[in-house]
Amino acid sequence: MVFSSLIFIFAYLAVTLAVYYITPLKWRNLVLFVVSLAFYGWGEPTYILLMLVSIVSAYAFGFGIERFREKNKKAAKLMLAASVTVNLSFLLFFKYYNFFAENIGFSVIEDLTLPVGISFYTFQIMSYSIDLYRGEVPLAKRFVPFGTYVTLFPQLIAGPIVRYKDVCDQLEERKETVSKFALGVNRFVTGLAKKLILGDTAAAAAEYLETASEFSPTVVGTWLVMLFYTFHIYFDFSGYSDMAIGLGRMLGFEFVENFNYPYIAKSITDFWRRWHITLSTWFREYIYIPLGGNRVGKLRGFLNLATVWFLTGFWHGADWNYIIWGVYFWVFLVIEKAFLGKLLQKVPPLAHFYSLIIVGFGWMIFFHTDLSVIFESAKHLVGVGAEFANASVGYELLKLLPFIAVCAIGCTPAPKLLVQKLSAKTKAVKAVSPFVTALLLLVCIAYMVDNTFSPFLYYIF
Amino acid sequence: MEKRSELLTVILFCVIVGVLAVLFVALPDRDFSEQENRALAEAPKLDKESFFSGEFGKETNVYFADQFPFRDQFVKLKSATELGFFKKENNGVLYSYDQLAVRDFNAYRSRIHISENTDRLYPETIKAQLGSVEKLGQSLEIPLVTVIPPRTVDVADSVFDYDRPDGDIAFELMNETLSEKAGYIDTLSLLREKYESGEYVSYRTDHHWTTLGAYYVYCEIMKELGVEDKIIPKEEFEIEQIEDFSGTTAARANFPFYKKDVLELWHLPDDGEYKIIADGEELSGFYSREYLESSDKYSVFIDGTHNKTEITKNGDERKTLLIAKDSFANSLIPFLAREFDIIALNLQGNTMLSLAVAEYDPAAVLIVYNTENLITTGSLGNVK
Repeated sequence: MVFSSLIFIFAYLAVTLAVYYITPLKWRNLVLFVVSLAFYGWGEPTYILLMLVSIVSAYAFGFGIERFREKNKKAAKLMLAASVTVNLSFLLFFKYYNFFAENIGFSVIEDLTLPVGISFYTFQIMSYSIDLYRGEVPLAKRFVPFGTYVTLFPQLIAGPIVRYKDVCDQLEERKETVSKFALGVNRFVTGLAKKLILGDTAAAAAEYLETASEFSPTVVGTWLVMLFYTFHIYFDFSGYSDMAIGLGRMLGFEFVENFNYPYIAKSITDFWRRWHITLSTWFREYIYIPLGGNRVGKLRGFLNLATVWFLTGFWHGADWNYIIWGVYFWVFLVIEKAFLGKLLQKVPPLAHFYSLIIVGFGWMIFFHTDLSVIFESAKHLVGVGAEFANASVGYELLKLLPFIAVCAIGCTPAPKLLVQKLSAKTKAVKAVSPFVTALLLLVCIAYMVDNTFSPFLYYIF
Repeated sequence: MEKRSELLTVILFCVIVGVLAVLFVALPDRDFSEQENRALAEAPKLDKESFFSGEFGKETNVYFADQFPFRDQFVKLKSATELGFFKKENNGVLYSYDQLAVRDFNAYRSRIHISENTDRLYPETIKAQLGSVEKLGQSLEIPLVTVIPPRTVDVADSVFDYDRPDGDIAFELMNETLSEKAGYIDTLSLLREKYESGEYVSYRTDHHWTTLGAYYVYCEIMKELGVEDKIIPKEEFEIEQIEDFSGTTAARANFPFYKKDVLELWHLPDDGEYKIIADGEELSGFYSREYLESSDKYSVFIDGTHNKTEITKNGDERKTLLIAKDSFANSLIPFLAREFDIIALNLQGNTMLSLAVAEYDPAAVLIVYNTENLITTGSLGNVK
């Protein structure tokens, strides 16, 4: 089930919120656990079992880790290794088996589908086991709160990757308040609008322009494709995170932020501090720093960084383009560390432009598993094998210009700052805010309702 | 203030979600949407197989969207947002003002909707199709007349505030490729001129020409066939106006504001003397009035599209006109039938015209196949 569907909002969420709030406090985790399993099972019921096995094993090994942690480091390490192995092996098998098989020459398993959210919940579970081993979180003694932590539907299938240490207190005790719920509603509706009105439209534009440029490639057309992919992934993904954080608040949780206006970044280093923050944090905490981080000499440091970026790329998908995408960023991060970073600080506008281009082209790599397409696009961007523009592209550009402007502004903190400024000046903002949110929700519903619309095509006869 | 605003946010959210959820369950399902002119999804059946394959989940989503309370209003809200927000288009339909009715939004068939491949026009394939028509004209021993009706975007070109990417390429190709032998009538120039001079020749909400537009084309066909003197003057018709006609384009676009069209039925005193047989069944007349009650009003003309429609006049021995056509011909045929016996074949599926000529022995052949179809289907290329 996805958040931006009618069935989620009007069946699932409506029932979930009602049941959640009429249930006495001490049963609320159980309610969340059960409804989250239903949420997960809606599309692929069989994979519930897989997830439960992951949860039970991490939960059980947790007791082992806790028991040996102080007295027998080796045994505790073994327990941790066992827990991580169970979890990782599921991820490796379901996500990566076919990729390896294909590249080594083994036979591919045809109907191996990826369990939804496995990349996310595996990382969440691992954060628990590792932090427990490090003594940074208390043992999860009761099963239900731990199960609730992993399966919690707001963040289950697309993050943010919430670490156990960030929410373990909230699992035991949290306050649901009107204020939190209202903030949650605002956040959820904002995310919904970002995804449905901006993200999906940008995706359609990218797809349309890309198909068009297959026939007659133009420089302008290819840049537009890149631009719309850039908008699409941001509004889609950050919108989803907004919805997750909003839903969490409605249930009384505070999740960590996942995005911080990544497209205003002034370097690639800066960009990765703002984009999918919880993933970068995870890799830093559990891979980069354990490897020694940057305190192990320049060469080892670069190598550690390379490992992290190879894994970051590979985490996004089991295909070469994702690996290339990860390594691509590693290259720029290394260059920035070496000398470029200092230069960029001197010319902020140029630095911003540079970051956008590198990130934008990154999305071209990200969205195309066919490497030859990436290569072709790169040529077209600089005008090799493509005319500058043609009538169709000019027409599309003109038509989409207002939309591009809305998206561009939407990527910056400007809208938020404007609201803050206005509400400091006048009370009217506070007064109309509930109605604006309600109206936005209605518009989002309209987009969901009209999604399936395909008219009866009697006119061709 | 802060608290009140927060409370109101929560209440509004819960009311919207709650009320719509309850109404969804409580309201009876609709079978058909008049506004969109299509059947709506029914509740999917739950069984083990469909549930585990995920099929049930997908169908439920469609069911939710189709049976959602106030669906028609939401659909309009979406297109209002699209228009007001940034786009001059919804579901592939452009909108613009019309000089004839300033302040009303008007829907026009778009050529740039990807799912129909109308976004791209391939001169080679169009040329090849027109070549087949030309070849047919060369080989036939009787006159051939070719009418390729323009789309609304072509006729009303001047009301759109941005250029059509391909301009009039398709029509230039028609002028180039089709010779005397193909009897090509340039209906684009004809209708565009009439449109510019303020005549109501194209519907705003439907992709067809109006009855008036069809009448002008009828006059040209009569001239081409050398029976100019038999043209019935406009004044002789008694014109019946059907208000509130909203056609295919409007159904596609769902623009919240637009002026509906007027559909005209042109009558003569001798209407009752014609015998019209559509696919073996005799019709009550040129106009099947039951369609006026439905959302498919354009089918009022000779009962909509049939594979074969035959028209004769009681007691009269007349020449036969063989028509290979699409739906544009439906409003044209009542005019032509005053002069000729008609054999009308749906061109899609009936492209072997020389065989049809041998079978029906007509005095002339008329092809009516619109530009949208020329671009999106290959049928015209198969005529022989």
